[in-house]
Amino acid sequence: MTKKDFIEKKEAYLIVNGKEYTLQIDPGAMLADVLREQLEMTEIKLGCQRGECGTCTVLIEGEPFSACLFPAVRATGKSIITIKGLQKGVKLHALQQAFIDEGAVQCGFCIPGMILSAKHVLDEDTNPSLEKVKRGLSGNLCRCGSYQKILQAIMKFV
Amino acid sequence: MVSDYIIPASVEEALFIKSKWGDLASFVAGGTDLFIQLREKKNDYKILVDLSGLSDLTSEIVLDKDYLSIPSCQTVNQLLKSDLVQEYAPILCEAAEQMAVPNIRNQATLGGNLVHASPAADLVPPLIALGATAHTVHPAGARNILVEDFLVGANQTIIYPVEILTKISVPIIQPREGTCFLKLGLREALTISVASAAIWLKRSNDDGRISQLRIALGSVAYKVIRAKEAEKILVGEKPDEETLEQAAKAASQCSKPISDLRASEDYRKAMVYELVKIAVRSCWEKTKN
Repeated sequence: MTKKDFIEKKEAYLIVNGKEYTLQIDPGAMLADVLREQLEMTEIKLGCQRGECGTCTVLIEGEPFSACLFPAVRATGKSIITIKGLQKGVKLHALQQAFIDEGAVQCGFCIPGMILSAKHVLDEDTNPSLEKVKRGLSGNLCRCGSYQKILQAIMKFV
Repeated sequence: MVSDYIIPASVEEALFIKSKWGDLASFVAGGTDLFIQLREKKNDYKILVDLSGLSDLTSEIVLDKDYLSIPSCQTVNQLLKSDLVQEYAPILCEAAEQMAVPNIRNQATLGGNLVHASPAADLVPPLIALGATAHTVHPAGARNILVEDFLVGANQTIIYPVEILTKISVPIIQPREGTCFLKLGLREALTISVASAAIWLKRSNDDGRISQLRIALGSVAYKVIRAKEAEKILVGEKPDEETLEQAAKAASQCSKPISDLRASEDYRKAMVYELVKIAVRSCWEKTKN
């Protein structure tokens, strides 16, 4: 390794789904890559990797962000929730169950992002209009075309 | 490859780090453009200096007499949620709600949108229409620059390498004034503007004519431009159909769009005409409140 190639790792303190982790990370690493590769949290999917598809959505301090664009160093000390943070052991979150019950899950790839975005919409407003729900999910793409069923599942809570 | 990611404790420290490392260091605010460039290897960054959490740059939006003072790292979503912005600079909310998607709006900042200076930046036309001012600090002092003068080209502003945009002050909307932002895109969300128009106009007291106005056009030139010929046609007049037609044509003529994957030059010019007409009518209606 030449001096030019040597990247000094930085220490990151991450709180994910209520558990604390101290890791050595590349300074320029994005949260999605750190969580997937170093903590094996592959429930965070990589889609476009440029913030356009919402597949990698996570909640940071309760707000939705695309983990592919969020620098891991910036996430230090902040509470991060992935889709797995919604269920308690094998007991699914009501939203997860609704998605299953309504047949909203086809290949499943967009689902973690969809559910986390939906959770955020409902956390902010317990009685959103369909328009508001659509806007809240406007950053989540589904190539299988499950949109109708996804909205149906969410509107069960409204 | 990024060799260091620094979160400075203050604006002064950030300036110091940049002075010390020169071209090797880059400021980053939200980073929603920068991190894409980094990942796709379109640009290399060695040392990143993160401004997004600095307390001076993320403090509250404040109403100061006739101005709203907005710290530069307020996120797009924070603008949308701000009661002050909704009431005193609603055109900024009109633009903010049509920008990107929720995840990006939580991370992208007002200052970043301005300093990155994409010709299609959505928050810039409203700032220019309102006559907003950019406030910066650098090691030798501070500057206050009209946003219109701050931009000089595609992704080019007159900001110095060792300088930080700290806040943007925006004149608040007054009685008999109306504002409107219109964005044309290829989708309902997550769409880069094909053409946009931001208009501020003031109706005169006595005879109900337009006493002042600014028309800012986005995505139709190398930077956001003012349609000054169109403005001249409308000032001192009532916006009747004939005058509107003339002004909209002038606005279209002053635009210099390119043809790219989203739209052709001709289409963009044609859309400027439509957007300006609709926006001026909308502003005029709003002055009646």
